[in-house]
Amino acid sequence: MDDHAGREVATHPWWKVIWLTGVDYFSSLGYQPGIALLAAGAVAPIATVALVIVTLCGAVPVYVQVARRSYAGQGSIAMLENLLEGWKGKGLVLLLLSFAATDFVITMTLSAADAAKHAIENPFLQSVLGPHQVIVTLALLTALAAVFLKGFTEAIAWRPPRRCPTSSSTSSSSDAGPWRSLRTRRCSPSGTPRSRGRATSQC
Amino acid sequence: MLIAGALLVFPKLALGLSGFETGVSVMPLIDGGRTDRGHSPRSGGAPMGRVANTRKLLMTAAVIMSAMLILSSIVTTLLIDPADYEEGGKASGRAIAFLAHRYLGRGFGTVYDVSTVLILSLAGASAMAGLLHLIPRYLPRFGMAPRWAALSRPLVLVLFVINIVITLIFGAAVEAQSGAYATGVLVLILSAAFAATIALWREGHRGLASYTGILCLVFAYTLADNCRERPDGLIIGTVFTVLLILACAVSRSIRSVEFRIRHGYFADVDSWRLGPEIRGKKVHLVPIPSSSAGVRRKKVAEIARHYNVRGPFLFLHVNLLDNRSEFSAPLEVRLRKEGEDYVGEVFGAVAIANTIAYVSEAIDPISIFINLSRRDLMAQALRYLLFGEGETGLMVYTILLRYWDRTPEEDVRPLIFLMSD
Repeated sequence: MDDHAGREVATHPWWKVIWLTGVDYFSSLGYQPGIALLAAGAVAPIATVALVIVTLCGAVPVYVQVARRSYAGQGSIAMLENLLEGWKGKGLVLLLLSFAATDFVITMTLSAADAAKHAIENPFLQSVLGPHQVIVTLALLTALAAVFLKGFTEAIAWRPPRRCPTSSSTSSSSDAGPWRSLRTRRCSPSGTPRSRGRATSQC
Repeated sequence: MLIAGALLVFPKLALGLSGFETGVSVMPLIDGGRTDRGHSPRSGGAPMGRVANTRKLLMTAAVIMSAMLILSSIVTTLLIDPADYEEGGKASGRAIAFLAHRYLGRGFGTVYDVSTVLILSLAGASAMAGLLHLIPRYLPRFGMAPRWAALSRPLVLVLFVINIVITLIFGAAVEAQSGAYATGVLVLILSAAFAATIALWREGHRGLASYTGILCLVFAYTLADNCRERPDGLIIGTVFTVLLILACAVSRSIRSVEFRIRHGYFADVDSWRLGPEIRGKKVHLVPIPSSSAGVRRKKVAEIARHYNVRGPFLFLHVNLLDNRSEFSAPLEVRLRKEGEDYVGEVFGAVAIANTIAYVSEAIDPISIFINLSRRDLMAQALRYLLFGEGETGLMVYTILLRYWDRTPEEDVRPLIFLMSD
């Protein structure tokens, strides 16, 4: 099972948190109708209804189940990691991580491209920016990276805490010298009863 | 006919399913209300209040978005000429903004533009923040050094370069990137459906499991169709997979000669009492494949045949973890005395050689006797990386050398005897 014993974070009512999800979800209204039109033409509303049905009857129930089992926010990748042992699980996580990265990276580039599109087509900005879609997009992406380089991560209060204690302790102790760590551990001779030759797949 | 056609184009719209993974990842922030007041994260069990509120959040977000999607779709379909929404047309990538400017004036249109640019920037920022906290969470388990993966600034630079490359590849075209985006979204949603199906099935909810199983098929079809028509996402995802695997493999092979033990502890009081007796040039360390009396006797005879050894032996039997894909794990040590000699059992090791080296540094033995395996060194190296076995003697030497190089204090070095059988 996952290690849910993370540090406590301040919580907020769900109707406030929804806007954090919303920036990802609702922002796709900027480009989604146009893409639907291009793909489906006149039947776009019907295709959209199909999408809505899949959303309400598919995505929502699935993620309600995920929420019940991964309430510390690890999502489906952590759930699948626990299903497969050893290198198979590791390989699957790498694969999923790559596609999650694809999702997130394209979220950035697509959002920047669409923001640039809105900016350069605006009648007031048109004369300033000209038709340079690519340049404006790159400028937006540079600004995004610059903000994060300055330390936006620290500023984001809503960032969920790291769950897995390994992420901070994996190597640091192994280089500190075994002698010292064995000696300090000696202070608790009883030790903790542990399932022998086996550890949880997590961490 | 119309509906069948609409269902066929549905995969192209699949990027409208984004945002659910984020919905789950913000869960720790959701207040569980009165239900969760007594809930402690250590006691286990789901915080039902938070789960219920997350369900409300997901449902509300989905309903709001569905309403907006349908309305915007109807409005844009009815009001925009095909010539305008084609690629390169005035409405391409900004359908609603186009209508806002045309029907509600430049002022309102500009307000809409500004708010769209803002929310899209926030979406980009949330994606960046999401990646910055997803990667350090998983990569250390693959042996990626936490201090590499957790350094967020280099990671931002890497992501920045990737963003630039992808933008240039797609020429910053909105429509062109939609296929790749949908692929990413669908892989995540499919994995969620799959994980939910297996979890439900194991818990005995067969009905629900069948339902999510069917959903898996729906998402799998959508994904397959999407990848067939627009392989961009598949290509990008594959490139990322290869890069990640390479990075992890390199990092893990470089770091495989660390001790890879988080900490060691004695399993019981007797072991703890014996601990000091074997420290500091008191014993000869002899790793053995099994700690039975017969094996020990044979080993002593073998050593005595070639060497004139005085002093007690510490026979060390290393029990490996079942799951040796882990990079490191804590070590449990049991010691007992058998006549003059000591027998050590260690449990939870991820690799034999690293454990022997770790124990050697912990007790500073007079010498170490290790058998050679008589096998091909290349194959042994691979076995060592993947399963923690392999040419133990040479690896112990390598690991100890590295440790001596890296630590400033005066080293107490044991003699190492490699014995061919």
